[in-house]
Amino acid sequence: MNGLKTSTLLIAYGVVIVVVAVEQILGTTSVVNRVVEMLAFVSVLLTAVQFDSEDPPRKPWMLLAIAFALVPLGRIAGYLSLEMMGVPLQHPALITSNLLYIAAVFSFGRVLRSSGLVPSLRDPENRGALRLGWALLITVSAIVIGIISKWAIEGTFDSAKAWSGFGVAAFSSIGDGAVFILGLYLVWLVRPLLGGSVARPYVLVATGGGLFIIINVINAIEKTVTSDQSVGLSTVIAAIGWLSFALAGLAQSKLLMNEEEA
Amino acid sequence: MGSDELEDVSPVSGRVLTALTPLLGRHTARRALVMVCKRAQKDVHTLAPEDLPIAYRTLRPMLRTLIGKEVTVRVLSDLGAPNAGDSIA
Repeated sequence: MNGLKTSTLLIAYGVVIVVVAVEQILGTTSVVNRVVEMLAFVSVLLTAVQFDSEDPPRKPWMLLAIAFALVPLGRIAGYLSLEMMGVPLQHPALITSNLLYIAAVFSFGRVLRSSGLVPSLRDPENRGALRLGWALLITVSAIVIGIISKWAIEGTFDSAKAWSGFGVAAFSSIGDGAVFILGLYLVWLVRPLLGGSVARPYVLVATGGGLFIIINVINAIEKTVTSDQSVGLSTVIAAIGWLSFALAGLAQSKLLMNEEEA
Repeated sequence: MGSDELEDVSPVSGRVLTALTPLLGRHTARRALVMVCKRAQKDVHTLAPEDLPIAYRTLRPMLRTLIGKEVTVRVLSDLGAPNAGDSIA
């Protein structure tokens, strides 16, 4: 019942970081990121369909797959400049993706809790963790509100496109904040399972989600302290985030297939 | 899983731990074993072969929830459950 080896994960991360860095140095477009996004979608979709239709984990994996499918679809809509009533179709696609993503992570938590094998925040011995959770929720909410307020103050809302662009950015930040908190909760839930192959996909999903709030913070800082809108670091982190999702799917698939580690 | 841990329990408990640990990790495998023992009204030192059907019944829903039907069938088969897949809808 083997999972994905740590060395396999490290090699995958190393390769993607180097290739994205080279891409950045050469100044080419983010082809690697688009490829890794697609890999994440395919990997998660293949994982979802491997589960029996009545297996509880199938639902969160499927929600995640649909959320990830909407990202390249949104990009294609953006590339083709598809609009409806002045609103680029890319925007509702990305907002829906964010919502499905939150629903997926929430659903992963429900699956873990219903197994009866993970701790509950309601247990008296976990009051400290609950307090820490509230503190994190307040801190992340403050960061997200700060980021959105900055955009609201600096933005010019003279068209439906500008409003929907702001909506996407705001939703994206709220979504990333929610996924960050839910991701930490997921890691806390699977903590007792660490060392077993069941835990790894959950930890990788949480890692991917956590990286996107870091990107939001970096973007906000870059826009504040420099006129150079460098996206280099964000691009690398985004690639690592998407790769984490792809590897989460692969780790779960490998567990389901009971493959021997190569 | 250390060999000390297996020496500490009955052979049947050891089998349960050996089957569950790669999947659930040491801590949770132990927790699942305790749940089986509680249901069988035994402890980890006295869990016996006749308690295995209780072990299958206890583990089946929690494993199915966590990892799905296929892997559950495999784990229960490793534990010697007869027709492990039949009772999983």
